[in-house]
Order: sequence, then C-alpha cells, then structure tokens
Amino acid sequence: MAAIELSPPLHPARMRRRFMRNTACTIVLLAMILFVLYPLALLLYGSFLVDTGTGVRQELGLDNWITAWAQPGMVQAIVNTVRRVLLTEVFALPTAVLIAWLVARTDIPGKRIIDNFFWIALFLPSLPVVLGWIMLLDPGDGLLNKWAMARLGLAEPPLDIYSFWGIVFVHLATRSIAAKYIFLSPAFRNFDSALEEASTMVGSTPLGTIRRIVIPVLLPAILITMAISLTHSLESFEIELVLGPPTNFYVFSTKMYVLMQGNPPLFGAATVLGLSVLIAILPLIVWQQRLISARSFVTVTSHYQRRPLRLRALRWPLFAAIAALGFVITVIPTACLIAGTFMNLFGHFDLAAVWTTDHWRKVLTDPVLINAMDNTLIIAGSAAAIGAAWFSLVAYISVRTAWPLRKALDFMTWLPASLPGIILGLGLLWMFLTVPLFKPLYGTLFVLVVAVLINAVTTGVQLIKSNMIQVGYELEEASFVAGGGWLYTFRRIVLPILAPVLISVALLTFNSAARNIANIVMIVTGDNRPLSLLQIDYMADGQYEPAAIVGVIIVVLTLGFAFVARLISRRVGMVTA
Amino acid sequence: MQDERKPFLELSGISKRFQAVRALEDISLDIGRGEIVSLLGPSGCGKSTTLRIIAGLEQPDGGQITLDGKVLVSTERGTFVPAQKRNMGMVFQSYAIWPHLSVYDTVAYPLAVRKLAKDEIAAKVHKVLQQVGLAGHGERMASTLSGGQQQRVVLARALVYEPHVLLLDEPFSNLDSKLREQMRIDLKLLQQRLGVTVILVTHDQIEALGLSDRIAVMNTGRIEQVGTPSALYDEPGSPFVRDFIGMSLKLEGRAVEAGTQEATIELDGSGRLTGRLQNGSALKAGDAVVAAIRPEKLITESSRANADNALDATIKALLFVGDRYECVLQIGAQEVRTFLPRPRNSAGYAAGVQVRLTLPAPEVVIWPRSS
Repeated sequence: MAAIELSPPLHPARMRRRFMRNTACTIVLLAMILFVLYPLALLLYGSFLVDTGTGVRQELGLDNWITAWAQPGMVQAIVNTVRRVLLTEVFALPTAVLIAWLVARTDIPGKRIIDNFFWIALFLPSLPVVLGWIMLLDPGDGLLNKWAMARLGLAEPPLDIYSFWGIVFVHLATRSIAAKYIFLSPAFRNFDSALEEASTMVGSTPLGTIRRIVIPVLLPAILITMAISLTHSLESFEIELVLGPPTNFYVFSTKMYVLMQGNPPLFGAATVLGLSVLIAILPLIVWQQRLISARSFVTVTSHYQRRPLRLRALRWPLFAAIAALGFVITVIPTACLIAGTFMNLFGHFDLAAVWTTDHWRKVLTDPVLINAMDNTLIIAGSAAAIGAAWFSLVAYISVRTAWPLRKALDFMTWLPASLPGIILGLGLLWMFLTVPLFKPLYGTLFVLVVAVLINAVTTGVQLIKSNMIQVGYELEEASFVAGGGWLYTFRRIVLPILAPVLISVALLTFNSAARNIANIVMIVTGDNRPLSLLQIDYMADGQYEPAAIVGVIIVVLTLGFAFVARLISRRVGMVTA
Repeated sequence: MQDERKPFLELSGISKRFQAVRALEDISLDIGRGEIVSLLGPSGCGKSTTLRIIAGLEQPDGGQITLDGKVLVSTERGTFVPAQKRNMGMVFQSYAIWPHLSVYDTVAYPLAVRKLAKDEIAAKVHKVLQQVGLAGHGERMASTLSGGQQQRVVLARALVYEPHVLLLDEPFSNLDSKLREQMRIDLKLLQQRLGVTVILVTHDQIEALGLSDRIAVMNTGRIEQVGTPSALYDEPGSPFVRDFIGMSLKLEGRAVEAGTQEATIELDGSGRLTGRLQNGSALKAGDAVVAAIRPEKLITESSRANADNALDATIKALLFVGDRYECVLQIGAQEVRTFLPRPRNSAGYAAGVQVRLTLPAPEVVIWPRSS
C-alpha cells in the first residue's frame, strides 16, 4: 500500500516532524525487538546447537529436538496438559458467563459483594492459595479429609489435592473463573437492553432471548476471553510444580522445568518444548487478533439503558450459591494460610501445642526475608512505573498513528503471552549471559524488572489500547483544530483522560510482578531473589510455615495495591480489557 | 454577501482516496469572506471528508487550498499546514466534549494553547459564553450538560479564538427538532454578529436552505452544483439536485413537439403538457422526457379547471402534515408523490377523491429522461 503512494516532495518542517515521529516509533519497536524477539531468536538458535563432546565447540544439529521428544513421559505430559486445560475451561467458562450475566443483567442482590469476591480471587497470588488448600485437602493431614473420615466413617481420605482433579480444582479456585468473569463483565454491562426487549416483544422467553440474542451478540467477547484464557492456561506453571511431582504428574511447563533442573541441565531440550508450545499457541493468537479486529468493540454508547431482568424467587438462592463460591475461592484458603503461619506444624491441629508466633518472630528478623522484600518492592515498583509509560507509548503508536510497522509492534506485544514464562526467562538468561554488553547486568534487579515487564506487556498494552479506542479520536482532533500540537494534546487531553487506566495498569503490573515466578525463576540469583521465589524455595525445603508467612506478605502487598487500582477504576467506570 | 470576485478560501482540484474507494474527485470551491456555505448531500457523498481536509485533519491526495491568499495545502508543492496552525474553529458531529474538563476549561483551552495571559483568557471566555447563552455555567463539567448546552460549549470552544473559518460538521443532527430550529436561528444571528466565515456540512436540506448564502450540493465525491438556495431550488442543474432539494411532482412522457425553449409532451395515457425546456437541453419529437413542477406551483382551484395543462388525478393516499397534504396521486397510468395545498373550502380531500390539477406551463420544466 505504502509503495503505491506517490509521495510529493516534502516541506522541510513536515519532513522534520515525520522524521521525529518515525524515530520515536523505531526506538520503541527496536526495544521490543531487543527484549522479546532477540531472546526468542537466541532460543531458536540454541535449540539447534549440539555439544560435540569436547566441551568447547558446538555444532548445529537436531539432537535437542530428538532428545526433547524422546523424553520418557513426554506424550503423557502433553495429554495431561490438554486434559487439564480443557476440563478447567469446561467448568470455568459457562460458570463465568452465567455469573457475569447474572450480575450485569438481572436484579440479583449483593452485586458489589460478588464483584469484590472475584476481583480478590483474580489478584490473589496462586501459590499462597495453594498452600491454604493443601491444609484442607492434603491426603494425610488435610482438615477436610480428617473431618470426612471421622464423620462419615470412611477408611480412606476421600480427597487428594496431589492429583489431576486436585490441580483442576485449584485452577478453578484461583484465577480461572475469576479472570473470565472480570473480562466478560464489561461486555455484559454495556449490552443494550433494547436488544433483549425487542426479543421479548416478539414473543421470546427469557431463556430463548439469552440463547438467541445475548449469547450470539456477545459471542466475540466470550470467544476472545476463551482464547486468552486458553493461552494463559497452557503456560500455567507453579500450581503444577507444587502439586504434580509427588504423584509423578507432569504437564508441559513442569516437564520443561525438570529438564532445566536436571544434572546436567538440558537447556536445549527444554527450549525445544517451549518453542513447541509457542508453535501450538500461534494459531490461537492469530485467531484472537482476527476476532478482535473483525468487530468494533465500541459497545459503550450514551444511549444504552440497563433494565435488569427480574429473578423473583431465584434471587436469593442464586446469590447464596455465587457468594458461597466467592467465599470458597477467597476467604477459606486465605484463612487457612494465615492460620498456618501461627501453627507449630503447618496443618497439624492434633499437637499438644497447636499455636505459636515463633515462625513470625524468626522470619521477620531474618535478613533473608528483609532482602527479598526489598527486592520485590524495587522490582514491582519500577516495573509499575516503567510499564505504565512504556505500554502507553506502544498502545498509542499502534492505535493512533499510521506508522507502517505498527502492526508488527502490536504483534510483538502478543508474543510474550504465548510463550511459557520459564522459556522467556531462559531466553533472557541466554541474552544476559552471552551478549557482552549485557553481561554485567546479570544478577542485578534490572534483569528481573525486564522479565516481569515482558510478562505484563500483553495485558498492559491491550488494556490501554481498548481504552484509547473508546476515547474517540475526535477528542484529539478537537484539540488539534483548537491549535494544540501533538505533545500539548497528549499532555492535556490524552493523558488526563487515560490517567485512571494508566494508574490501574501500573498497579496491575505491580501485582503481576510481585507474584511472578515463572518468568524469573531461571534468572534469579541469590542476591536478587524476591519474595515469590523465597516462598517457593521454602516450600521445596518442606518449610511450610515460613512459606505461608511469605505468602501472607505477598498477599497483603498485592491485594493492597489491587484495591487501590480497583477503587480508581471503579470511580471512573473504567472498562477492563 | 461579500465580494465574490475575491475568494477568501479557495479549494481547487481536491481529490482523495481511501484505499480503493474514490472519496473525492476534483473538488473546487470558492468561499467569500463572511459567507455561510453549506456542503449538502446524502451520507457518503464526501462532504465530511471535504470539511476535514479544509480543517487539516485529513490530507488530500491532490489539489490545493488557499486561505486569504496563503497556501494551506498544495500536493504539487508539498505544502501541508497542520490543523493546529490553520486557526480554524470546528464543531464535531459528536461534539468531542472532553470528559475531564469543565465548561470554562474547555473554552479556555484554545487560548491556553495560544499562551494568552490568565485575565485575558477569563475575559474572552466569559464573553463567548455570554454570546452562546451559557453565562454562569463555567464551573460545570461539560460532559454533564444537556445535548443543546454541550453544543453551545463546543461552539464557544470553536469561536473563542476568533478563527478565520468556522467549520460545522452536522452540528444539529443530535438535537431534537424544536431545539434544532432554535439553534439554527441562534447560529444565524451569531454569525451575523461576528461576521465569521462558516462552512456547514449537512444532509438536511432545510438546514442548508435556511442558513446558507450558498450551497454546494455534493454527490458521490463530486460537487454537482453550487449556488444560492433559491437558485438551486428554482434552477436545479441536474436531476440529482432537483430531487435532493425540495419536492417535485414528476410525470413521464414523450416529446411530441420540441422547440428551443418550449416543448409539448404526451404523458403515458393521461393527456398533454406544455412546459419550458430545462436549460441547455435539446429535444426532438419522440424523446423520452420527465416533466417536473414544484408542488406549490400547482393550481387546484376549479375555476381554472378547463385551462390548458390541466390533468385529472385520483388521490390514492393522503397525509395531513399541518400546513399542507402529502399525497400519492394516480395520474393516468402513473403514481406520483406530491404536496397539495389545503383547499380553502372545508370540503377537504380524502383517499379516492378526484381532483383536477392545473400545471401552469411556465412552471413546468421538461427534462430529457435517460433510460
């Protein structure tokens, strides 16, 4: 297209402006290439490198690809992954759609309470939650198991969290339902009730209206939610890492981790698995992007009215069911987690002395914890600040400019979401170790900031983009016509209008950085270890009590920031995703 | 109207494509200082694109625009003055109300851009708010006002820096009809007071006819005709303009006698009509033609019933719209739409009633009919 355009000779001022714009865009693109594409290229190249046995020279070959796929249990791991993902979706998606619809379109009571439950569930880091559930569902000491055996006279513990179904359950109880609900609600909220009323007027029943009108109209939103959660789900790591190995249950990502932790570490083979995931997910991303571009998502108009459907007798039972679900996925595991920190032995209520504050005293005075907390605050804080600025720049280029390469930039923001976090981490490890310029940075917090930023780029950019699209370009044009230049307009119109979104993105980035494990697990050294990895290290040691304490601290940090984000976004009626 | 010999804003040969679609083709238009010119046409005719190109929000693929002798756009010379340097005011169809600013801040914005002193800004803002009838609303958030008030805000925002040209993009389309009439009159009065040059984009002929000094009728990316409202109404240059502006009673037939000024035609099964030829067209006997007459020229009085050019018509459908009837008539084999004046006697019309219509020959225009 650009090639056909016969450009006339340009005025110097115009050329300067165009040059400035192109330079700015190019710098942004180059940075994305450096931190996203380059590590990926290194991985791809590395996957074809083979040791010659001399220890020094390497040559190209397919050995890694063969080793990776010849690993014992590989097929089983793939089957496990697919089964786990599909089963979780089958439960989570319909549940989330139903709840989103109930909250947005009916007169169900306690909408705020329900909404808050799922926001909390979304922001709860999974590992601490897993710990809480272990206390309840451990086959040996799980409280629920003991209760069931005593009450129902069972000989065997009926529930086992260290199992396939245990893992599926924990997924449902952490983010699976919550994230879908949060993604879907704006679409349901902004649905014009005239569409429903028109269907009622021509004689359709409420259920018929949902099936024939509501679902088809909202199908793109539902499909996009599904596509995004499928990608996330395929990369899921820490839940499987904790709950899988005791019963020899591996999924793709944990299999990869095992290869890297082996002796000798099979980085090449692990990389092959990571790249395979990318190849498997790529069609999903393309599909996702086509869905999004095929439809205008500017559903918010000033004319829509909301007339809630009356549930009558079902109001309270439905509320009770949803509130119970919300309670189960937030309060119960958190309570168990907190209780665990005050117990002599995590989850053991049958000791002579059950309660103690010793663990807290010990951990809080431990310089290791103080150091980890400093690290987390620095990493998450800088990621939040840099992220908000960086993501808005990327979003602005891809939404508001006619720069020829903006599509490429946009595509690159999707890549990190489709690569398993540990593989991205491995790519960064390669980059920081092999490029002389970067080598001094290895082991510093900067490396981790880059890693968590890459992890947050997809959500952050998409969030800002969707809000920018809704703002309507005419608001900026009105400023141009009034005499405002590009920068003046950005400062006085674009930024103030988007400020709530930017603050929310910053806080979301903080949250995801503070809880992040997968992206940084490969590049953390002793000095820059943050809280999330300290917790996993404690757990690996079997020290559940200090692990729980670190978990509580992470929960307090992340939820605290999330609540601020929520407050801000609610005040301005911000639309998420 | 000002001296039209010296155009203030001059568009010549403007063309624009959107991918494969040709949006504008060779648009040329001269606008005098202080004139109100409307770009009128159906949706998709290119009128909004033309306005945005004048504003500097869109770059044309070809052509030149000058304002007061200064070149704003010239694809030949590679000149493009960006929107913010053109000193034009614009009212957007969606209003483009900035959601985070109060009325005062919204109107003060263009002055702040121009780095005026605080007290000077305050004085100008208060003056323009007074002019648009929003005095005392300065502290409100602009987004919380009613539609009519929001429109006054954006009008104030566009006028406060005394722009060379005021551009209005379908400014009244979001208002209800009463408010629209009010705003139309207010705008006309305001323009007369300020003497600002106005370019108005609209698809509403009433708006264009009532407000404009001149109208440019656009169709499929071209200007069909430019002229004063009465000239366009009385002497439309093309069937498109004739049908787009005002109503015509149209009857099809064939020419039986054709002179240089006049022609007599045989209608399909209902008699003969004489009328004047449409300017510039030549006919010979046997050519297919359309006879068109503005409804207000029809004579329904029975005293003239035996004159020439009188036809029998049967009322098929009748809509009372206050000052007149809108109706469908059967004339011979043809069904035609027209207006009918209210008859003076109370006996009124009804469906099925027969009327005798006289079409005065000087008012009937004979157009060649292309198949």
